[in-house]
Amino acid sequence: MFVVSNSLSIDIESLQESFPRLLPLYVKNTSLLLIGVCVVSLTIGVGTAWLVTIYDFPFRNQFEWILILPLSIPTFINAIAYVGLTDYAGPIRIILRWLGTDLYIDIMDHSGAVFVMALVLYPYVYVAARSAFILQSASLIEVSRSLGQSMSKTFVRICMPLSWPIIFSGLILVVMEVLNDYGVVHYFGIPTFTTGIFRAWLALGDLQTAIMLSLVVLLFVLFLVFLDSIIQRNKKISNENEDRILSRVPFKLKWIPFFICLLPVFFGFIVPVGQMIWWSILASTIEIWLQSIRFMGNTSILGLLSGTTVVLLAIVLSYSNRLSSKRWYSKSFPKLSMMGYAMPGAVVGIGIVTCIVWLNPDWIYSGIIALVFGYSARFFAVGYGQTDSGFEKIPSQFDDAASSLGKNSFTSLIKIHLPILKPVLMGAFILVFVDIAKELPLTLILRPFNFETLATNAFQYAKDEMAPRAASSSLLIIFVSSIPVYFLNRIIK
Amino acid sequence: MKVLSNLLIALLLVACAGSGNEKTSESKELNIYSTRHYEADRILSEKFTQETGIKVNLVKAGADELISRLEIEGEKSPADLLITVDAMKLNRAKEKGLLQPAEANTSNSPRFIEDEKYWYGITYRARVIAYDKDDVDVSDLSTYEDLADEKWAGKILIRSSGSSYNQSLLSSIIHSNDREKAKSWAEGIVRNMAREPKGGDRDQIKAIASDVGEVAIVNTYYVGLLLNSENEEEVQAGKKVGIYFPNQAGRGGHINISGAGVTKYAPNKENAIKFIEFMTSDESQKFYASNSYEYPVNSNVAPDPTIAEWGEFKIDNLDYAKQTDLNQEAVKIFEEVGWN
Amino acid sequence: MLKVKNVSKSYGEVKAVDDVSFEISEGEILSLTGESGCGKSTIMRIIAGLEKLDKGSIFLNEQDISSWKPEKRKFGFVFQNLSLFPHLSVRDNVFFAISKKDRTNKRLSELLGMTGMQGLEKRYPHELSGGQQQRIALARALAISPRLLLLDEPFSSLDELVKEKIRKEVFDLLKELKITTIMVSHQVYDSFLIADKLVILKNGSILQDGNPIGIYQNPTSEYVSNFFGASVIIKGTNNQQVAHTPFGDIALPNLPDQFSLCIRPENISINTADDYDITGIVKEKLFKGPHDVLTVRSSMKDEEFSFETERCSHKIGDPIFLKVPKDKILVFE
Repeated sequence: MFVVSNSLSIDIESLQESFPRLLPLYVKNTSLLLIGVCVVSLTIGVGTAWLVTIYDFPFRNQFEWILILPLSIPTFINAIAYVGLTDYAGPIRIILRWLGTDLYIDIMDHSGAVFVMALVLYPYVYVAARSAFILQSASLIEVSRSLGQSMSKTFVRICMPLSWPIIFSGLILVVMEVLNDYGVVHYFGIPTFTTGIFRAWLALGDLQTAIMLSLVVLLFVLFLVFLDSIIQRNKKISNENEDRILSRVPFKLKWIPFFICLLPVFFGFIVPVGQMIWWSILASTIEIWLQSIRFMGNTSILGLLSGTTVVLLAIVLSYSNRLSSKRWYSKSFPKLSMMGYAMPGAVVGIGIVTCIVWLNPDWIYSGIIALVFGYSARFFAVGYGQTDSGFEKIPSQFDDAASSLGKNSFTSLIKIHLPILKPVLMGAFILVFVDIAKELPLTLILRPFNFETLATNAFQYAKDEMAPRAASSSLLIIFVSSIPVYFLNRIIK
Repeated sequence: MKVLSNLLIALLLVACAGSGNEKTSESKELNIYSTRHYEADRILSEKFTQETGIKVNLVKAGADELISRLEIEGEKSPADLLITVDAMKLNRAKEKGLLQPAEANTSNSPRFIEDEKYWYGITYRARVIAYDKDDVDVSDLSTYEDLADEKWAGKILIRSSGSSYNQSLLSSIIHSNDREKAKSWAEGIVRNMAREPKGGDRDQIKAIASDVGEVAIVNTYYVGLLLNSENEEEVQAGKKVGIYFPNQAGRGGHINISGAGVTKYAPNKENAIKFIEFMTSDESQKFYASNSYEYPVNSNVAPDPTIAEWGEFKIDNLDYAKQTDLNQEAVKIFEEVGWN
Repeated sequence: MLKVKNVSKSYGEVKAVDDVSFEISEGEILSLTGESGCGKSTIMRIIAGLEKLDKGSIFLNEQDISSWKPEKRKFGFVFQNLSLFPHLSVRDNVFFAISKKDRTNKRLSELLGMTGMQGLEKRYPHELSGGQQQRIALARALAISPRLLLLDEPFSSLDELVKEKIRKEVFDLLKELKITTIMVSHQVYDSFLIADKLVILKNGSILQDGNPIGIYQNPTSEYVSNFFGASVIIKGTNNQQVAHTPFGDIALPNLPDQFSLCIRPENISINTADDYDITGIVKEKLFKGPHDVLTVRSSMKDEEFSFETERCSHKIGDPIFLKVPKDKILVFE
């Protein structure tokens, strides 16, 4: 699958003169964004996961899933919501003027971009960190405490080192999302690799530079995949013979963790959704809503189809991987499909058009097959990562037991692995589904005639600088992805 | 598992069946690749279907993506018509051999028809100077070129160079001056910027309202939208700025034209021409004028009162757009002068 | 030294610990025992501070520590599962909780020496056997020189062969170091080996506590008596100060109306028809090495009991006559 994204880069390997000049700029901006978003997402994601798993405080149960909700908001939509909130005609400024003062707030810069992206991407880290903390044997924490280590020392010395491999794989998803983001950086005028690739390839028609820039990104992704494989390899086996759930520690000032958890939800969900609702009150008519609801059907069908496809492919690949060699490179190999995820969607889109034309040109015109194909290529990494780590957790004795009972590997897949993996597979499916509901550039280029999804509909208004009209579709995107997000939480439990 | 795979197959069948039906009647169809995604276009194309019985199929995406897709699809492309909001993109499609000349019966003024009839204009917008009515003396404004002057230091607002409007503006400046002058103009603008280039055109006007800068280069269409916004505060922001048409003593103000060109391998060429004629008809043009804050290309039709209020103005010709390599030149200049 | 006073804890409707009080003096070893679910682990966790108590208090040297965090109490806790930190080497595990300057090789070999684990300091937990892991866990708890050591079913995750050996080593070590220890175990045997004090729990309350041998000899209830295993229980009714049972009548003082007679198997001897206390028919005879296990059925065939005895010549179906010293018969209502 990942060959698809690479199909662009087969032709040329020469260099262009503007490449070395622009590279430092792109490297600087992209790394600033990456570091910023990673630090903020890690802080929020790990911090809230820790509070929710270890401590007891009011509404803790609800926070478990509410904290994932920001994931349902596309970064670009979050960006326009925040710009809309803080600009001259936004509610903050209106209130300030009403109070007789005014303050120019500029969200459209590096820190603003970090802010709007991290607020909706931290759930990737949160979900990973929480499942890691839950998996962790409760007695390790208790041992450490009874040996005189405070909660925070226990966190630093025991929980973080043990959970890091899982948290890292969540962080990689954040990195990918930042790398492939075009909407926010374009809108905020921040030249990054993505905007650079777009500019070189589409505006300048300069394929070489575009490929070189893509290669730099791909090398970085390769490095991450490598790093990940090292981290995963050094993973220490934890005690697995325990199913006791940690009894939650009461927090002395119980409203403090409540407010800490409320913060990211407030800024990552309540505020943008509030802005959308305000806009939709301003601009939406019943007609717009009815139309958007129709598009919701398209979005859901696409999500279901592609999610299923990705999960099926991931099962096939992970399982054949399991049956064959166990070398680290054979495990990392499918992870190269991450590249499809790290590239800007439009670039992958054109790559996939090329690929489809080469495979079977009729696909493009026969409904949504091209889209399903495209999504599967793009989001394979998301589904595969989950599925594969799920397979890894099943002890190989199960396979041996099954084969000693005369079951062939297919039957044991159906009868043993899949039932055990059901929650993991559901989780993978849901992540892919949410990603697809938010996906834009690929949908734009690959969709059949007269086909709108919620994302394309929201985007058309947003691009036309009519953000209020985009509100109803944006709200429905959030709605459609919130439902699976709610279930995602129940699965982790 | 079984349920899942059955569901998958069923859905695929439905999807295929659904799209299969659409392809039956051959000549009663029209396939459009368009970068225009406006409500007015949707209403007009519905009207077109009602009047002619021709079903309009639409794919909307960015111009560059659509052109790439046309290129890749080649002869197999189902597209009949390519619509973009920028003449240069249409010319690029023409140069790449993706379009074909077509004879359409329109009342377009000749400047809005491509010389060899490869494409026809549908509407246009002007790229103008919006200024703070309180702080700027109109008599200080004159040309785009003048904005690079030191007197505007720290006052200019403009969006990033990724915008095709800016690329096209700089192309026209290269065309009417030369590369060196254009580059020093861009340098001057960067020097005079009130803030890093960012946001959309509406954001620039709102920034004037916030007193971040005093002068913005914007597209009339967005000013029209702002003045007719659902949000009263946006209307207030829009009212704070005046609109100035630059270069009236010289070559005229810069415009961005939307146009439609029949594709080289159009399966339904006749329908495509009918569509162009329909879109440029007096009736449709009036509809555009009153609904989308764009200027009509049909010489029989007057613009919408919102934009007519800004007055008549002299427009620059579209010669720059014939040199499609200027766009790349412009992008390079932007890079050189550090205009993000 | 440590006093548990009127401690209660509920989970929802279920009372896990109900008004429990006991105390332990410096250098003593106390064993908490009972069936699973009796609340013994919960009490242990409350003492460690890992669980909050609903009512009552815990005193450490007359100071109320009920609200102290576990890290402040610094009671070394050894868990039933082998909870070594999997990402740390043996050395780092043992030195986990002590300050950098105290992490000397001398101290390390001292601690590992105590537990017989010298030479393994560079290993990681997954490279150790279960027994080794448990010894390291003990060394880690001892490293902080705990005021009180808490052992929660310390041997339950070890396999039988290793268990005996380690149990003995650990107990010898505890005695030698004179560490005040509270141990949770569902095996009474552990208590006999080591405990100075035994606390037997049922459904969250203390049934009986005191010196283990005293409890064995004088259990206050049928449950406690039975808890040590292998007691013969015979139900009976009071017939004018004579205990009327299916196995015959025995004259006993102070009989209630309804009662159970509880007899330790070692107090039962096989005798002849002319001098016996209870009688029945041999229903089953199991060969068990130096012993036989006999199942005796009453003549009315409605009751039976089993007991372990020396090898005997009785066959199945034979009548059997048993003698029990009257002062060794425990009577429970």
